[in-house]
Amino acid sequence: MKKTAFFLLMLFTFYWAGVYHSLPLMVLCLAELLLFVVLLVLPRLLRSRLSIAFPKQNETARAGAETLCRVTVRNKGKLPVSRIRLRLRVWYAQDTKGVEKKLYGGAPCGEHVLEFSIFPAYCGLLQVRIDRLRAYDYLSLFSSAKRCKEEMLVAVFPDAPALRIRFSDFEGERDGTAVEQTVSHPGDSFNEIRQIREYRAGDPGRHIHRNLSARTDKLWIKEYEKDMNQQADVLLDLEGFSERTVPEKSAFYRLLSALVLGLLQETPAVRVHWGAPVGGNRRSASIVTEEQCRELLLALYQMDGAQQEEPAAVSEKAESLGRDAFRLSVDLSLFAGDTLLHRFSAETLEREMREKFFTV
Amino acid sequence: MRGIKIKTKASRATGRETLPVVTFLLLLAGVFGVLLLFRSPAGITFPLWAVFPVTAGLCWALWYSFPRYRGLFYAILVGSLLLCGLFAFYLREDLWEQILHVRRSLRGGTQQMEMTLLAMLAAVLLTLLLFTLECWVKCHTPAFLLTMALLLLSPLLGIDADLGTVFLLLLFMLAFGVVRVASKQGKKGSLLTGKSRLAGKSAIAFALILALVFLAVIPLASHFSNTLYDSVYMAEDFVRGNLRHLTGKASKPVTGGKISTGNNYRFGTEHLYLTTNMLPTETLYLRGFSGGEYLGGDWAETKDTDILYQMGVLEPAEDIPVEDTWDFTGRPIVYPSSISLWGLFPWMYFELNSQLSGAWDTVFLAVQHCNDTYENAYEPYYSSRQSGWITDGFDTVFAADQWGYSFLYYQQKDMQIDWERLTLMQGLSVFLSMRESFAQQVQEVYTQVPKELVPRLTALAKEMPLTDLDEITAYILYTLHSNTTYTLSPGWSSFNQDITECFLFERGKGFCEHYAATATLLYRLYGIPARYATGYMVSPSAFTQQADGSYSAVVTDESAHAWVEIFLKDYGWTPVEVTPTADGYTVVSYPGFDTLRLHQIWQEHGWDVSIPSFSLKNKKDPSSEGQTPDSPASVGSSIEPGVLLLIPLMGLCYAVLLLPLYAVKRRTRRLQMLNGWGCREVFCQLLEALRFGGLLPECSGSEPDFALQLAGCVPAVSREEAEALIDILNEAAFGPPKQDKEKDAFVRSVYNRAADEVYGKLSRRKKLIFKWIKVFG
Repeated sequence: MKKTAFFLLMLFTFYWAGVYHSLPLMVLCLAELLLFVVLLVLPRLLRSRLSIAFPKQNETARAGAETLCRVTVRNKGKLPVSRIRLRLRVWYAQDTKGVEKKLYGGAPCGEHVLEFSIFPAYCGLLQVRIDRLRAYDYLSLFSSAKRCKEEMLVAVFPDAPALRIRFSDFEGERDGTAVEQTVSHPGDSFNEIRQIREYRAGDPGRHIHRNLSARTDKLWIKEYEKDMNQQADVLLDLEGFSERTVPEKSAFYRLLSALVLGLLQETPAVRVHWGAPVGGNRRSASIVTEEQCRELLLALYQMDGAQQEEPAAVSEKAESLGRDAFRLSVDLSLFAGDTLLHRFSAETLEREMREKFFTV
Repeated sequence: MRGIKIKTKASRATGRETLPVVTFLLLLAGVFGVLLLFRSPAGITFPLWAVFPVTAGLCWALWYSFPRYRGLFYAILVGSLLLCGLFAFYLREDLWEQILHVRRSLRGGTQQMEMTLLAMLAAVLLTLLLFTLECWVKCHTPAFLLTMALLLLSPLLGIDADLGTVFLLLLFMLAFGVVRVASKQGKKGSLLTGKSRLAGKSAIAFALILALVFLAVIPLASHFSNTLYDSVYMAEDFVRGNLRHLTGKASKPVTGGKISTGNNYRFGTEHLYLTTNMLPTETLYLRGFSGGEYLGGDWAETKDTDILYQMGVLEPAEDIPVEDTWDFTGRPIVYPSSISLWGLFPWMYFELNSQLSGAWDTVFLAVQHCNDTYENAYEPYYSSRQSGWITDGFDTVFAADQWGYSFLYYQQKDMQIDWERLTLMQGLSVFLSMRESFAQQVQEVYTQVPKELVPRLTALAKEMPLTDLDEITAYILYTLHSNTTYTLSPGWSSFNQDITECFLFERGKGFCEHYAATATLLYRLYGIPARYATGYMVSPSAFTQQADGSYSAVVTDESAHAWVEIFLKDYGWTPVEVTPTADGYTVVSYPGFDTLRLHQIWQEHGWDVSIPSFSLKNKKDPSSEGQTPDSPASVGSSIEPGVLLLIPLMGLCYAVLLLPLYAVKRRTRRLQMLNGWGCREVFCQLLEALRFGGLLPECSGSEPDFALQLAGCVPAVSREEAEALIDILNEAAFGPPKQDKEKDAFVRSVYNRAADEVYGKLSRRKKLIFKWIKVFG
């Protein structure tokens, strides 16, 4: 539109200069014409001097939160570029469709940084790519694009709270709001009392120091040194994982993260087992910190269900881990041993994780 | 959408956006360009040395205050408007007079008037308008359209903008566009911080490119201007030709006294069929229109009978129809009453020549209009129209169903009326008195010129008083042919100038209509009765012999022509060719005058047609320059003496305006550099500052008691700090090469305190040097 208007104006100026034999207008018209040609060529020249790069190839983000991304634009030429356009494509790994957006900016001589924000709703591995850089002339009449393949990976981690799990020796103890299943669990044995403190809601009843409580008319709790060798096992049933949609996978990652973080509050370590292609090696990771939990998720993102196992292999592994292991399947079913603790729904996952309380 | 949202980051710059310096310069370019354009018409003048600095000052004040002190900006804005209003109110009479004068100037008036008040007000309002649009509203399109419209309207108004003005306006139009493009990023996408700097740098780069482009096209446009104009003419010719063919107007014979203010378009369409009984040996002029009163670009139609009516020798009421005769339109021919001999006057010269000269070579001419519409007739000179369609001996000329009309005429060489013999012939001598009476009347009627419409032509005629017809003709031809060039595409002329003056004094290009109209006016100004005539000019070569022995010619619109007809007492109305040939040759002849005689007169007077008799464009209205029309000094170039002085003065003004900006920028840069320096460089600067302030003039900094001396002369620095400073410097000089930011900062803090101390002890002059030139702190 702008180009057409400029061209028509030039044409009219030429006609007007011609009919009135006006040299100044003819000079004006020819200047416009030559400028038109210069502006046609200029973007190619400017483009050849431009390059872009992501300063960080890998980035982490939290689902639902803003993530600031930076692109470095380098202009090696002598002329500033008043306007550039970057075609940005963002998509989740294994998902062919993504989001495309055109970013506008400028590129003075030297190196400068453009910023944009991403708001990922789901967990997973996000691929950010700038596949086209377009440089405009000074009047934005013409442009010239060049292909580029600058990529950045953003690992989007869940921002889910830890699942509320309590290991209890009281069979049948109930929480008012949650379904509770009781199973024997590692960590039940205690060696030595570390300290005695006042009772707090949720403390297991078996740790009440009965004698002292009776003497002082207050409830006292015995705190024991944890057995560092104790750990919880979580087996991931990844059957059909690759067929799942991004929201479903995201829900699985969130639940897994919440489960592991919840278990870590009760046990010193959580061992997560997954993947066993027929004839392949089963993988497992021992999680002690939240950071390791993220590493586990990252590893799962990168595999993205590539190492899903046969149903028989899962059962075999579950048996080998014994009846105390947790099992989490891609349909968001959480088992403790063979017992189904709860089947979560992807739509109401957040609420369920917030409200449910498991005593095992 | 796919669980991903992307948002661009807006500028992180806080506070108001600054305006780059380039916006100030571009604003100046725009305002100055418009003012220079406004000053271009001949009658408008104002002192640039007064208007430009005021404009620049206001522009700077607005530009400086807008991003920094918004309150001050509003005050300037409102104050300027109020001042304008007050001035306009108290000086309303002067202002109104100046506005009227501008109107007169735009209508072609050339009387000069200084209009400083109007120019000042216009400059202030224009500055406010452009600043508001460009910097406040940030909308470039209205300003762009306004500027472009002014440029495009300038030729229409006869404003001759110079190249400098065009460049200034072009720079304003396009470079501000660049600023807008570079500043608009935030609305659509992510944005770099410091966008105003990018916009400024982009605009500067673009301005440089534009300047190079502009300089490159000036020689191109100058050298190929005619080719470029012709290309437009050809394109227009093509379009118009097709349109005329489509609308059926192409075959309509030419008529009328309107002088073209544009180009002449010819399409080769057939207009007339001519048939003669013999091959003409002279160029045949077929007159379809005679112009009497000049109405400024147009001629009122006139006929000889109008003169006879004015003389009272004929009364329209006496006209009676003659039976069995009709004209070419099918209406009965109305002849004057037979009781008056004056009724024969229109054909008197033909009849007398046929009776007294003994010439028998009358040419029979039959005329047919190609489109069969006979709204006008085209008659040859020295002719007598035949009353019927069928003439003896030529009854095959027209078929029964064909329209047409015919004449008998003499060629100019056969017009040899012996007027002395006529005096001796009883019965015919009355024609002598008729001739005299008519000549007197013609002398009175056809020498009238509306001098107010053509002041420069009037002045030109007065500059060269002549009485002899041959000399007058030679001078007119010399003036026309030495100062103008024949072309069918002279371009359009402005609507506010007389076309003849524009042709002769401004453009110097034209075709037959312009030559004929100008020559007619000049003849009349010299007292020679003359009329502007249009019709067709047919050369003998156009005729081809037919099988029946007659000769015929097809007349196309390319033969349409305009010429002058002068009244010669012995010949009646006689055509004079004043238009040069396409090759630039002059071919003119009337009884007693030919090309040979023309060249003889030119030689006698030293009139060299190859040298322009006056410089075009500078042939101003003598009254506008306060000179008498007879003064030859009115012809020639003149350079305004103030212009040469103005350029350095303006440069100085801008330098003064920009100097504070430069000083602030330089100081900021130097202080930033100081912050980046290491402790040793800062210490050198400290020594220099101390020496400048007259403290420790002999000290080199390496003395063992330097710390003591420093603490002594700069109370703000304790002795311990001075010693610590020396230790740091020793470590930096002789220790491992590593930079300690904390120690550098300590040295800088000592330096800053010392610099403040020194500054406080300086005189006012030295303070200025300390702060702005040396930039010690």
